[in-house]
Amino acid sequence: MQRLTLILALFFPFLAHGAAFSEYELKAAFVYNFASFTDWPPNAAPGMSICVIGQDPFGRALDALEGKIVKGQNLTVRRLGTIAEARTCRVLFISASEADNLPRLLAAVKDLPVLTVADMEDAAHQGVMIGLAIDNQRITFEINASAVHNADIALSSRLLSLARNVYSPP
Amino acid sequence: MSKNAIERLPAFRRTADCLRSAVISALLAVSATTTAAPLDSQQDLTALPMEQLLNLEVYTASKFTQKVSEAPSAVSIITAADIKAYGYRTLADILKSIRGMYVTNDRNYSYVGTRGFSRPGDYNSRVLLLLDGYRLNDGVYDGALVGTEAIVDVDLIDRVEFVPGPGSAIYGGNAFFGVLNIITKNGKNIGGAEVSGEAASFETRKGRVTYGNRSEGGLDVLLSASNYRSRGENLFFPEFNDPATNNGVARNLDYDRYDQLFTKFSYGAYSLDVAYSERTKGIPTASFQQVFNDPRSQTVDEQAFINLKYYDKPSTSLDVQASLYYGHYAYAGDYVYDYPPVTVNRDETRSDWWGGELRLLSTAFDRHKVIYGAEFRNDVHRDQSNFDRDPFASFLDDHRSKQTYGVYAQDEFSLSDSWILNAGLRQDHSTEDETATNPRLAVIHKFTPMTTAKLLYGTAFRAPNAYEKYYVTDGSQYKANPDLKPEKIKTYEVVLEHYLQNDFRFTGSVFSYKIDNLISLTLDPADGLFVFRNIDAAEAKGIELEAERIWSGGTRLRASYSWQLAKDSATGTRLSNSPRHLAKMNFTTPFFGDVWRAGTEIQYMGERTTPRGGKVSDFTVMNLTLTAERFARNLEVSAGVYNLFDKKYADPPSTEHFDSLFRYLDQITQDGRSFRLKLTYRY
Repeated sequence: MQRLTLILALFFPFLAHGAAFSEYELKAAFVYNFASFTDWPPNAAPGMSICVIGQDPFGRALDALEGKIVKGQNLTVRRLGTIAEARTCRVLFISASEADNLPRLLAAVKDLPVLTVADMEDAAHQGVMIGLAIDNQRITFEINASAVHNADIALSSRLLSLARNVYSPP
Repeated sequence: MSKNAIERLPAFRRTADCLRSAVISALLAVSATTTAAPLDSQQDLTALPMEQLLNLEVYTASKFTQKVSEAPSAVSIITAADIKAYGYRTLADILKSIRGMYVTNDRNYSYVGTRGFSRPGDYNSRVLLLLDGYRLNDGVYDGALVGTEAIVDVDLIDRVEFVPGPGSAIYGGNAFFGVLNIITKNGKNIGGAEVSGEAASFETRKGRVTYGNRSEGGLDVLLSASNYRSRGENLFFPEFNDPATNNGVARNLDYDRYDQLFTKFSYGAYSLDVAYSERTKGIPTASFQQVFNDPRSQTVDEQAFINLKYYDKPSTSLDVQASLYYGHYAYAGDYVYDYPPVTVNRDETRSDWWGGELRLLSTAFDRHKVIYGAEFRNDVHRDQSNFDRDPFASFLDDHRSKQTYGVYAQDEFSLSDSWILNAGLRQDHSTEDETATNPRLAVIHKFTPMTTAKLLYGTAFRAPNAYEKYYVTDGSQYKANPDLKPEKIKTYEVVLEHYLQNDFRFTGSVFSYKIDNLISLTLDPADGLFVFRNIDAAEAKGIELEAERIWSGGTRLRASYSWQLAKDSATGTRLSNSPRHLAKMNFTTPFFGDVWRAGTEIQYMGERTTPRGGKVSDFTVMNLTLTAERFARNLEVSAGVYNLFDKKYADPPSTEHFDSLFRYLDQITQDGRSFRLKLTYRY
């Protein structure tokens, strides 16, 4: 791992700064990648809306993604007031502030073609499609394959292979 | 080692000659980081492949634990990153940085003050101290030990949460002014072996060896041992300045030694914590009427526990938590009295207890989060003894036991997306015929996802401890009071929390506390004997304000101010050891291309009165720590200066600080400037 960091540092001088990345700049990049490696069914919401429910942890990091083209569509970012609005989103980012409300939020979007991403440890285990976590100061993610499957969403095999853990249907 | 570091990190070499101005750069670094920040934002992370994103390190301390905004209190959190950045050495150091808290030290123990209350002679019995959910307060003094006498090494702490206000509705006794929860690291967080060594002023050295890992099979193991030895200073006490008593100098009596062991195993639904600590401290103050400057005067505190926990989620709507524990606390104090002749008197305490708790959290009903719990504790030994060693003479040999039962329930009801009602109730009963019922009610309103207001009401109790009830030595001026009742507190608080994106947080709080049946040492006019009685009533009101700002790249600024007025309800006089003003500032930033991090804190404490009617003046202390997490491969270096400007300041002594010649201490001077260098090597 040390060697890899060294090699990366040689090729990407900005990386020499080590721990300079804010967690949410990186997590925003992850969310962008998740959207890029997902195929939605035809009945999914139009456009490419990434929605945030709960306290927005991103600062400007998520807004910086606006205007990027994902799957031929303009990416937009929205903050939701209520979970009912989630059906108009492609990606639903569930903030860590909603950890206690997770069952209720998941019930509201159950089987809808909305990619749920939650910013909390063990989220995939609890039924979120992608759970973000931090391991050894690095960001990792877990996938709940059955939740993805039930929503008729397809994730690329690349995403599945990079996940720390994939929960499959029993 | 450092040669390697320079090769890898050219930025360090370029700026190495600026090292002398490091202090100034650290302080001016707000502007430095704002210029450094665009470097990150210019770099489009979305252009990098996922494989690379997975390998980038992040600075995680920037996260506010956001669930906090729904907690029925204004919670403060100090993380492992803070402990590192500010060079905290003890739990007391950590608490000093928390809004509204202060710590008093009498060169024997550390005493926690919160919201203007720090009662003389109280070993923190009015604050509940939890370690990974296990109650550390012992069965005799109900004490919570937070200085070098604490049970766990601060380097093993993942975070400390302080929940101010009454917590008896969930936790029962001792959760009077607040609950302090220490959460330790997992083996996975350590991810290998660590060897840490430090050297500090007053001939202090400390070593720690830690191993932690999680196996493929899911077994998480943490093993750690620490050893601390400090010779201490020769302290001068002007009150004892007399040629007959070594001109007021206590020679080699501020020594401090401790050993700690901590292990933690978790596998699946089970986890097992085992901890042990022993601390020996010289008493330089001649407290409790001792002969001044006698080398035999010391206290030894030993703590141990085993805590087995079970946590499972049998269904998506049910959490089950259960724990079973055994705890032990023993204290032995050698006190040197001049009867005459000069004799060593020993004071001993043995406290052993076991117990268990079951807690269910159900989300089965829509919009309701319900907690049910039941707790049982059996204090098998609450023993106190006092005797002269040579010639042997026993003055106290008291054996007690006690059982406590508690049941509680709490419902967090989400009335709508923006209104939460949180109501809890707990009933406690003990075999000493103490019954307490404590409610808590919170109305939480989210004006926007970023702004939350909380209206809080709650009560708490503290049962008299064995020391207050039964500590009576033959022929002394004390008598027992088995009729002591629990003391009670009733509190109201309004909290406002506001977040601006994720990088700014504001917390404001206004509180009003009222205490009845406060247990205090008094003189019975009928027989002239000292006795603990429920006589006092006290009240406090105050305001706390705190703001925290985070910049990308890991620069953080936190500042708080508290104003509080705590007074005796009957007389209207201000309580002793109660500062009216507290102000704190913590600032940390990376510099030299993120190789180093500077952490500085400034703490102001207003003037305090002493229990005997004197005063100790206000003061400001500044600490500075520089840390290089990767100074060289696997090597972390931390250098700290405490009380940077060598400010002379003192804490108020409690009333038992007088020597064999009845000379009272007016104040207890605290450490001047001191240094610490710490190296940590990871495998």
